[in-house]
Amino acid sequence: MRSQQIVRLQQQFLTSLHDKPTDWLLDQIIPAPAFKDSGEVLGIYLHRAMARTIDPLHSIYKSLEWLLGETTFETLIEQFYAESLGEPLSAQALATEFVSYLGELKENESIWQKLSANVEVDAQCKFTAAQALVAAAFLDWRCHWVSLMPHQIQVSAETLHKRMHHRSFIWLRPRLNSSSRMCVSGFDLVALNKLVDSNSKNKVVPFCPNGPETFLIHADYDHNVVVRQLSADESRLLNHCDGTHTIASIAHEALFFERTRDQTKQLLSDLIDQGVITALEEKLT
Amino acid sequence: MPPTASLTPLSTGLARASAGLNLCHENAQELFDKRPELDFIQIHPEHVLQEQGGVYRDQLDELRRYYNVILHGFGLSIGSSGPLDREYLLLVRQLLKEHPEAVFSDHFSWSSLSKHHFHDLIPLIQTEETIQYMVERIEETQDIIGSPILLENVSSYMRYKESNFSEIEFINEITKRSGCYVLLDINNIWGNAMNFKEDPWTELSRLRPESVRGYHMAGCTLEKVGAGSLYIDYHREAVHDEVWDLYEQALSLFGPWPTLLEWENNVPPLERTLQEVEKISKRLRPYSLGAEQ
Ligand SMILES: [Fe+2]
Repeated sequence: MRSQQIVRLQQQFLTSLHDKPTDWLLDQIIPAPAFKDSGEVLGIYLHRAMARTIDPLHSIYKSLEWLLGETTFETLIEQFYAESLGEPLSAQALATEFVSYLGELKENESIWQKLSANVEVDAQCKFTAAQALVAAAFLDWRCHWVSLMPHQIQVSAETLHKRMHHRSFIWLRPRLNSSSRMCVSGFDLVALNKLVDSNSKNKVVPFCPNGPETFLIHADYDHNVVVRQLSADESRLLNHCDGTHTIASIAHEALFFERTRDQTKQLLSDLIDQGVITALEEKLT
Repeated sequence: MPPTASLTPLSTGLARASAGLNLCHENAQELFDKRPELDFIQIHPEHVLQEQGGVYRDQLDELRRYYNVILHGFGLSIGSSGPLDREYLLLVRQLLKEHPEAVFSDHFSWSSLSKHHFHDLIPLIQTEETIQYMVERIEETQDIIGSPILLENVSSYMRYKESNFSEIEFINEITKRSGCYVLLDINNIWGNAMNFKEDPWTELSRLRPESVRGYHMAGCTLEKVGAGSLYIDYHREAVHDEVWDLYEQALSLFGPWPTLLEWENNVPPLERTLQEVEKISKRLRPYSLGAEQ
């Protein structure tokens, strides 16, 4: 049977976490003698609960924190915490909730004005600072996701190359590593990633001068997360590497873009070397 | 020889006098590269659940094949009024099948209320009502995982007016009625006694000797607060000398049990933590000869 005492204690704790400490809880607590009163010790428990919940967001949302600066980022995640409906145990679940929270915020909400004030977008760029912040947050989230996906590669690059030399190789169906993510952005995610990695002082958000580009975020053979921009050929090809299209059909389509079968084969082979394509399926699965 | 000499460990794969180290994100790479001699490592089922892949998960899987393990949870929240997490307990059950040498432990505390997780071990109101509730929850847990569990005494910086059992009386009643065992954190006994101006030896000697099945050793940190200083259980420094003395007293009272060195924050090079593990082994050595196995 549920204990009414426990229910009360826990509900009062939860209420105190998102509002101010309740009188009942303050009265119930006997602090260790070193504290001046029960409010002080409760404050320590409540603060630890919040700090430990949101702390992992610092190591996940590196680009966003770099753009906003530490203080503004901390204010943002504390606001997110205050508005969240639950505090999950897993940092991954929390990170997903956080990026959804940002994606859902309306552009005209006052918080964006405060956040955007710190972010400098190039005068030539058609996109807003708010869009840059969401792009950075999605980049961070995708990098984190890729870093935590199982990426044991069952078949080595060498085996895949051998199969490419088989005479019926054109019926194989290439597939991307399942942890890889392709995305489109008007901001230059590769340059942004480099600026963040080097903790650059230059905080102008780099953008794509020729309009939105396609990017690939994946883990290489050494499990390092790689952010790269895809050429039009690569992007067209990789969009079909989901294990359903045969090399024959991919090569056929490339002919319409003046790419020979040999050029397509070479491109496939390069992408195998880079750990981007990690399987050649024989059957439709 | 202590009166507990005839007790057998819960698990079959670990000797009573064994010393191990916790696996955490901070020490995984070094443990993975160096593979020092350890009787066991402690892993958190939460890490297996939360990290489906990635470098740490790959290292964890490799290391749990290499070493004996024990399982230590921090998210079960057995004292919570919300429902138990069945998915989590089924994972523990599966891990216990994969590791016949392992036991599963969590804490005498609560840390969540349904979807709200506080990432902290919060003390319970110590009353008859809570004891009955804890016993039901422990039985439910033990039914699902198919094995008795160990619960660890926590560090606490506050108590409650409605509590009418002391911490040790509360633990004794729960282990007696539920059949669960105690994972005795020596540092928490010492730290709580210091923080509440009590005598750690008296607290220790009140525990039911037959209920103890494991030890934790860790370092706490003295911090200034509003009206003085107290010890906070950060696990970020070496074990205090007084805690080593208390460990020796515990060994003489309860006999040797698998003992873990916990160092999770400000983790120094592995070499340093291994020196602390060696201090455990040294104290266990006299017990590893003879009938204690
Ligand atoms: Fe512990």
